Amino acid sequence: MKKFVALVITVLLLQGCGAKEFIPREIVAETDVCKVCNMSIVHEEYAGQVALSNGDYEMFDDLGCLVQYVTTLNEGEKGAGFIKDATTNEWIDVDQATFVYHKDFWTPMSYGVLAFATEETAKKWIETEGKGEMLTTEELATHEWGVNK
Amino acid sequence: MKRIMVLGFLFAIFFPFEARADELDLQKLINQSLSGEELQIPAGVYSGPITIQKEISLVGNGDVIIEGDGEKPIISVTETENVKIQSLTLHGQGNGDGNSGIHMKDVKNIAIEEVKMTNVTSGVKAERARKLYLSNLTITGLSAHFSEKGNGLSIYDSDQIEIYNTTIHDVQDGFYMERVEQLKLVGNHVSSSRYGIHIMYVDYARASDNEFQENVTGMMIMMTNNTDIVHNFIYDHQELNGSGMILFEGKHINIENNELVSNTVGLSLQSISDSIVKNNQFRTNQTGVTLVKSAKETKVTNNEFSGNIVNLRSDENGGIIHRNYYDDYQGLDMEEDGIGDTPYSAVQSFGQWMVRKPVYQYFVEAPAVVLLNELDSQTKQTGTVLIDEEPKMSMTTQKREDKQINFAQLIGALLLVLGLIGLWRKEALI
Amino acid sequence: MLRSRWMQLVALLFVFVFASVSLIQQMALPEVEGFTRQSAAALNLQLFLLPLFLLTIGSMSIAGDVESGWLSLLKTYPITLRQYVFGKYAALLLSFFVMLALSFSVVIGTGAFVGQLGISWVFVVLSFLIVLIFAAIALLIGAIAKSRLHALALSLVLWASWLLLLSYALMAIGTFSAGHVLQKLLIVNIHINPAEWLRFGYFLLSKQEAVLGPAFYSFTNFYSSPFGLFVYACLSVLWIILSLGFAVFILDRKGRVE
Repeated sequence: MKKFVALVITVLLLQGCGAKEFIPREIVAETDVCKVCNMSIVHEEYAGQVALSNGDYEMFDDLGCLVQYVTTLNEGEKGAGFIKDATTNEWIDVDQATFVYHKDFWTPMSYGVLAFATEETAKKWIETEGKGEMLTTEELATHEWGVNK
Repeated sequence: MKRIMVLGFLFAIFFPFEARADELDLQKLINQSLSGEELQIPAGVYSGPITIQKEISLVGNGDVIIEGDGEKPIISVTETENVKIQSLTLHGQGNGDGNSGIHMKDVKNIAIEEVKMTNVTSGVKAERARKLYLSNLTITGLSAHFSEKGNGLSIYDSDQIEIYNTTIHDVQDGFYMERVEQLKLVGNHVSSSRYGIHIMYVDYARASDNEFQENVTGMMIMMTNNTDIVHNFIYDHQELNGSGMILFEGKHINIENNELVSNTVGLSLQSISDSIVKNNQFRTNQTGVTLVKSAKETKVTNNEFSGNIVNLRSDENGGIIHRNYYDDYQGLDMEEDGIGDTPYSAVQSFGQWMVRKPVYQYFVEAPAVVLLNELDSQTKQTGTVLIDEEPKMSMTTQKREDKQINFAQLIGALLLVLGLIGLWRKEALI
Repeated sequence: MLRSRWMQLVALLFVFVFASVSLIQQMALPEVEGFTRQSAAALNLQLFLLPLFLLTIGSMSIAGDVESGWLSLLKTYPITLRQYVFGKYAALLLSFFVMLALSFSVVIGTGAFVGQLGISWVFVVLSFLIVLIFAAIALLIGAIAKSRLHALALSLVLWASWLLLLSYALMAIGTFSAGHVLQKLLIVNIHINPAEWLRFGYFLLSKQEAVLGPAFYSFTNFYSSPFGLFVYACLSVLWIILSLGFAVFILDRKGRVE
């Protein structure tokens, strides 16, 4: 019993300190569902995740859900946000990404916003697709989601 | 009924010898037929894919099988109207994305009836269709994880869609509808897939008399308005994250007379307003109803909750519950008006936590939690959210049939009891 | 042991409570597969009652022998401590097995009227497993205790912490800790708490691990594999062997110190 209490205390203490470096975690197709809309994550190439500062992860099926979730967080709760790059399918930091929106782009929630690691790849995408407008991380926060009928 | 037996005629000209069906070129027949003609296809195995770009009726006469090449849709219908496809079997190949049954694009007034699709990644897909009538289809997908499969029936940017008596299993989503107006789904059955129905941005949909079984989630309805969900039977969605029905963001939704049985969560409402949940039965689900951000103008009334581990739970916003029947209501009805004298409080100390932190699911009906809930109800501690002021005292529907006494079982048990007591009394032990 | 009045009373109480709870639940609920309020109620009843009776009766029977000097007398006989403890274990098992069999047959008998069998095989297996593990632990407590009263107190404290207090403590910790911390603590708790171990075993054997929720997916995945089930069986046996072994060891040391 004493040992158990000691263990609990150590775990809690350990959790309190330690350097904070957030890394994205693997998607588990079987159990991961979007925190916001409840959809299971089958299109991994659009998935996003937020690493909370307490060590928990929340998964999202679409960038739109991720952004809506982040706005509900309190100061300091968010560790880092990650989203899949639309061209490379790699995790990239949401805060450093560039976004392209067009209502015809398909995403799991049909929000139509894609993420890119650099501005160049985003520009290239717009060129090859022939449509889309660039959004910055700040513009993302004020973007109106789900009205692109 | 214009009926021209083109084939008999063609046989005489092109195939003087005994014709094998697979030597018949269906595409050629279609190309040669006149607009508005009905093409009767004799029984046999044909190779696809085929393309339809004119007004035509394709009717199978007997066992007609068309095989796909695994790369293109077995039948493509583009930029045309008044097409009918009837009584065919489409057999797919491989597991690539291209392995699909029927693909329609920019079409109007299409009827597809009694078509069977087997071994396809996805069944029917339609883009920009108007007036689709689909009935008695059977779609069987592949055996793989749902994330590697296509949808049974997917429809985008379309309107006036009616789907009747269609059976779908082993696909990703049974019915996937995006930006569709005026949708009708009646008498369909979806099983062993991810979602039975998956609807996004749909206006004026009606789903009635459908059956969903053993999918991850029976009905997933997102960002839709003006929806009627009536008299569906949704059961055995027991996987992790499994639910009978999930509604996410919507207005004017009417959920009535459905039966939700043995699901992980029966009905989950998230950001739903101006809607009503009425006369449904929630039986033996782990959680009957979950309400998240759905307290505004959404009423849960006249439903029956029985045998669920947790009947209702909600986030801190709560919800409006009124005159439901709850099997764990402990109040009395001294006035005998069929309504309990004291309010029913749905939120147990533990129920709230399960919504906020999924890890708490571990404690579901654990000994410690049961005791806690018991204390809650004994001390008459009521929460501030999820309170039914007028709980109903009895169920309106009684489904229990009369049970026969099983005499063999009774006698066996009696003998066992007597034997054990005899053993005990004789002190044969120790 | 079956002859003792106390034991007969306990048996009667157990059979009565168990049968009536099962019957009420059967009448009230439709018959369905899966984890329902009925199976939960039956499981909780077993988890509450069996350990309580086992721990108190088992521990007091050894502590009583020590207290009354009966054990010292026994030691002069040609009987080893190992035989003594094993004999106690066998006696405890036998009387509880008879009691369980009795209550199951009563439930099956009443089930005949309602038209259901009322009991699943997993449930039967698990009940016997509860007896096997807790009987061994009871003897260990009895060996540690200095007197009958001490044994009773120890049993009750352990029973309450395993069934209730640890869970409450964890639930309280969970309110301010991160989800993944609580998840890890819960997994630790499953392994150090026989009551949780057996509850987990019920979900495992009845293939209802999904009940515990997605947070435990990889954990339950491991234990539901054939190798995991083997590990489960081994650890269960370990609970029994270690408890009995320590009981013998402690009784042996007690004898020498005196």
